[in-house]
Amino acid sequence: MRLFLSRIGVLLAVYLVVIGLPVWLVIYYPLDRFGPLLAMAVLATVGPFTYIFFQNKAAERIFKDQRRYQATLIQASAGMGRIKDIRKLLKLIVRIVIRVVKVEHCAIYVLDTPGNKYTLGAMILRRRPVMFPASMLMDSIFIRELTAGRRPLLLADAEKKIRRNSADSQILAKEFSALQGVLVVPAMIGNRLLAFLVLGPRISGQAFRAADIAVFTVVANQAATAIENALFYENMKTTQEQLFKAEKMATIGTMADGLSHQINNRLHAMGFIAGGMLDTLTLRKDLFNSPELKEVEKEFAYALSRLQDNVARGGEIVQGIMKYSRKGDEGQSACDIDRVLSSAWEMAQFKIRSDQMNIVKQYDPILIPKVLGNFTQLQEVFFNLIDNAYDAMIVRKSLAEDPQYRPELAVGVEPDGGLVRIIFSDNGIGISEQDRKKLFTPFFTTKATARKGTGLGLYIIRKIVEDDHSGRVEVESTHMGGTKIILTLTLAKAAK
Amino acid sequence: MPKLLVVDDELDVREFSRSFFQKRGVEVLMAQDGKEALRLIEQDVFDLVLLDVRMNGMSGLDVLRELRRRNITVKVVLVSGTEDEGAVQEATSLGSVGFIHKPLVLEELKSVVFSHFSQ
Repeated sequence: MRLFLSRIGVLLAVYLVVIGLPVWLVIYYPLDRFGPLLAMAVLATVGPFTYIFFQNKAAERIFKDQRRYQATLIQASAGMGRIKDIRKLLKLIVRIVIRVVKVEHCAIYVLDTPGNKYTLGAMILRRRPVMFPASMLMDSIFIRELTAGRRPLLLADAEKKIRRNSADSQILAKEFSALQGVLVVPAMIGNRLLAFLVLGPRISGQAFRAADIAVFTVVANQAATAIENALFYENMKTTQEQLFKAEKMATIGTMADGLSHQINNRLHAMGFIAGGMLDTLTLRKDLFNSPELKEVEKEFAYALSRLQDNVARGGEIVQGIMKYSRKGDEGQSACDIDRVLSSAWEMAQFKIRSDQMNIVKQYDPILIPKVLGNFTQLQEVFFNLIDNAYDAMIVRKSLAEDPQYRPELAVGVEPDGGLVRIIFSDNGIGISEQDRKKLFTPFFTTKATARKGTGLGLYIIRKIVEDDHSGRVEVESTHMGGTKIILTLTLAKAAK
Repeated sequence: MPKLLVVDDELDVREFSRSFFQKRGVEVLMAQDGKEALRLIEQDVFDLVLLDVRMNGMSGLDVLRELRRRNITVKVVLVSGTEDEGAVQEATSLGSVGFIHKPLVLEELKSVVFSHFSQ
């Protein structure tokens, strides 16, 4: 349009001179016939050249922007391809956009790896502070429109759509303006929206021209390729790290067996040594007949009994590690949840008398489905959960001073499609916000020394459920309000 | 006087077990591996054998199998570091009378050992 107008302008100006000058000569010098004819001949010859000259000048001014775009883009595409760090890449893309067209602000959103939303990757602000939303959900109308349209989207157009007045277009405009931009440019790979650019208004105050939008589209397309590469690279790096970690874990696992056996033997021997000395002291009590000697005997006996106690605790930890390193040799089969619970409860009887706590089965043992799992491992998980609940409830009991308080662990079973949720809810002391974060950390325990927690229970539970059974462990808890542990396991198909 | 054989490759375990039980009127012999244990069991009659499962050379289960093969009956209590159900089952089927786990306190060991002596 600008080019067309400028061409008309140059044409008019040139021919105004070419035709106007001879006419002017005729009017002011009516007697001179030769002069105007000569002028007309000369001007008619020079006219087209002048016209072409001025037209090129005008075009050059107009195309100056486009040339600047091109130069920047060539530079940019070379730069983008080389960056493997996704964060750096996103920053570069935003910087390129801001350099090509001066806008008040610019941001880029990238598809999150789990794939349900787009998160803010980088931004530049030039004029005023802007609060970009941290993410945009994948199933929002805005994202769907952008993916389906595959074209840059102007806020003005979205607003026009509202006048057409469907509920969707109103939501669209709302979601659009939440993004704080006036133009959004999709970066697509095939039909997949990988990222999108959000641009604020131009600093000049002018609207975006078609040429600007075209340039953004090119940048976005190049960006999409570069982002895809960077994401791939990042993904590969994580996979490699995971592999390395898995290998390391496997090595530790093989070592753990021999190592814990060795440690256990040392502990065993130490226990015998301490026990032997304690035994001698007890048998020869008669030798310690003066008050001073009696004092010494008491001190030694106490030290030796502490030594034995520590050996026993060390042994429990080693047992915990060994149990995990010898995982799942029997494979997995359909397990009856009720049977797992009963046998775990039986195991717990060594420690908990059945009159000390109630287990409330909130399910029908006949109707509940079986889960796919390793019976011994699941028994271990259930045992640890009962044990933890018991400890939490004993603490609650000692704090509450309520004669009515009765420790109770409710166990519920909820089938959900191909999954089964098993819910353990106790009415114990609960878990503080602070402790909840460290819950699955090995050797972390809140249990007082008297209760002797190894700090491995929940760690092993998670390992067994999540790593060996591809399940999930979730914890819901409030301090003083009890704890709910939710295990999600796979339904055993064709269970017998 | 009851006679006890302690089979363990740990010197400390053997010696402290011996001094502990000797003070309680038990005659204690010691073996540091499976071969020595088999030789002593062939030569002598024991009221009980405390047999470590995991040892250099022959394991405790190997010793049990060999006793079975030679048709020797003697009360054996296995001492193990792991709660390995498979091993417990095999040991029971091979005729062992008990299973105890390391690390254990001497008092516990005493009650296990004496309960077998009285039977």
